[in-house]
Amino acid sequence: MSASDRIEAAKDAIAEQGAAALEGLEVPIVEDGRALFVYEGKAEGVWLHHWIFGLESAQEFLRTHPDVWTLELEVQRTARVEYKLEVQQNGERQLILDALNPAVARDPFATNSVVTGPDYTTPWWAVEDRSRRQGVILERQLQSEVLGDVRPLSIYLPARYRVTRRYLLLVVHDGLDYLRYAAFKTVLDNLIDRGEIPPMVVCFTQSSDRVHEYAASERHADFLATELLPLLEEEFSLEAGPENRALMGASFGAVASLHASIQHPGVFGRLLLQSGSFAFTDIGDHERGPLFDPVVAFVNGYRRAPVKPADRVFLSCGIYESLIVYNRTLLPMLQSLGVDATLVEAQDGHNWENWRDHLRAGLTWLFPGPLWMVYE
Amino acid sequence: MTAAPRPLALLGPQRDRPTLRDVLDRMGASGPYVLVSAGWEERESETGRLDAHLGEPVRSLDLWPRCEAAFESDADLRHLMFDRHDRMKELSALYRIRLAAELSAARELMGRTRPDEQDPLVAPSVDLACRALRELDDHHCARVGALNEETFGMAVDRESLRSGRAEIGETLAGAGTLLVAGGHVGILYNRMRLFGVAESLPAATPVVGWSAGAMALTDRILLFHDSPPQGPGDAEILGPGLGLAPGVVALPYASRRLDLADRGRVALLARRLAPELVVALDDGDSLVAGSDGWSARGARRLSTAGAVVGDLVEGQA
Repeated sequence: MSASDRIEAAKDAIAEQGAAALEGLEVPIVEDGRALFVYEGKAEGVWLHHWIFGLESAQEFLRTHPDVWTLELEVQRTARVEYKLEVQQNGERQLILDALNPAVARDPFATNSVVTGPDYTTPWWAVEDRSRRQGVILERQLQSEVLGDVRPLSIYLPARYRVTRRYLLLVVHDGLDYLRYAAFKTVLDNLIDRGEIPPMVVCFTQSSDRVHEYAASERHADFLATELLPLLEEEFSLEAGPENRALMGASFGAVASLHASIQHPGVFGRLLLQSGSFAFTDIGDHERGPLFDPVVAFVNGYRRAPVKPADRVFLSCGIYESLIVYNRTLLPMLQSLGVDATLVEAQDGHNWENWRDHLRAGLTWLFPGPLWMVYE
Repeated sequence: MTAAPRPLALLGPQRDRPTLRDVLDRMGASGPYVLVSAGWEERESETGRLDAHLGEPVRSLDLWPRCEAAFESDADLRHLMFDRHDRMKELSALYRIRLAAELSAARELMGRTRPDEQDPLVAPSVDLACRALRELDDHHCARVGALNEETFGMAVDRESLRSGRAEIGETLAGAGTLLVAGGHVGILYNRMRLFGVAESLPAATPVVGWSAGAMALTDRILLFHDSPPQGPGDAEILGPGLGLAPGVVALPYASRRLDLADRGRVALLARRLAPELVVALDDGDSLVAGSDGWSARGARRLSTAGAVVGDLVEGQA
């Protein structure tokens, strides 16, 4: 039975039997570029909400049976879409997870249901493999004069770290979130053990006030260059020179990375920027709220007087994000400045699994590993 | 065809289809078997599978732990090697600028003709492009070689290496055969240079190297991969090898790392490296030096016409 047949058969069965037809079904049913979503329960209306920029965000379900609702949608083969169901009961609407779909994605703010196209798979580099050599994570605290508080740091040391070697340095904004939601340690262990990236020291930083500190804040840039980097250089065996140091982040974290590299030229020579919130206005005001004011001011200023921020820059962004436009605009600008830059677009949105899925491409772009040198 | 002045064999990977025992028997290369596997770094001491395959224990030269101990005790040695690392990076960066351009030109020119035909219009331009590549490779190899001589020349007198070099010399003097395993070819080469393995090896002692070990034994080490995770995949000279297997460029895992069906790429690689014998060494393959030259079992030559052939002499393809 083909997928569309399966979907048609499921719809017919639901229409005849109601919820009993759902027994044993994996919902949503996905194949051949189509997906059938199902909601079971009393409701006055059901909608599927996603966050795909440019598409109608609320798709209405049809009542197939008195207590079962269905929605059939096209899904691209390699796509990964996060969504929630909006259910109206007693005149009130509520966003909920899809109770019939066990696949969820978590981030610091919410949990969403996930549907993936038939060709999407969780990449191998994000799957823990205990046969790989494991790095360790050390916990440190930094009393910051610049920020006026104590900052927790989680520092990844690669397997076989030795003080008789020198290591590259990567500083990650929203670092604890990257560890928790993007399996960053697993990614590092896998890529380093396979020789796809060199062994490196990775400092995961976290801000309790990211919407301000990451919004092109000079204090934050100073913190990175004048406090964090010297601390790391003192304690760990690091290679000198901007070509051996990278900053990275997603969303506002990408803004903070770009901004810091410009504020302190010649310190960080590699940037990995994921779904950067590089909003700008060529005319009129932006409509992204006051938190974006300093970001837009920074990006507008940067567009007026661009400078080379680093020698190599990797950009990634989901095509379902409104930010894709800004990232596409940034790429040729960076390239015109002599930056070795690339942009990878994903059939995905503004979420941690999208960022996780592009860590391999980004990290190997910044720091190609010794795989080239290994012949078993 | 020049072969090695001592009994010597270059083998493909040994993990899935080990042929080492068979090759040693064919060569008449007996024990004691002394092993260098510093390319595997801290896993150098894991010799169990090799012992089982050979039917007797090998003796490891332990270059990796010896080097680690020297680095820990001798900061000057450490900084000497750091300095070499930095200068190697600079040399490689300079080399790659021209390499990308020369390869691009050569590929475009070769794309205008068939690799197995002498096109009277394009062929002279292709010849010139290949010559430019050879000159660039030679130039880079010479610069790395000069850096190596400077670095390892300074390292040779370090007290931190002295006892290790002496012990290794004694072990090699009593070795029946030297075995050189694979792994990270740069690390393997460096450790062998630091401890003077080639210099300490008696002239008649047979040598067998596989994978990275085979590469390290040749005159020049070529790094190659047509589709690495990042980068253009332009094959490049790492630098000089130990020179124990002259006139050969060893390509272990060639079938997995190169598109050998692409006649244009094969032809370009062979022409760029000519007159050296460019040999694909896949699982189970061997190339053995004899009094009348090299003999292959499975190993195949990359021909200047773009074929991958069993005959080792150009003109028979």
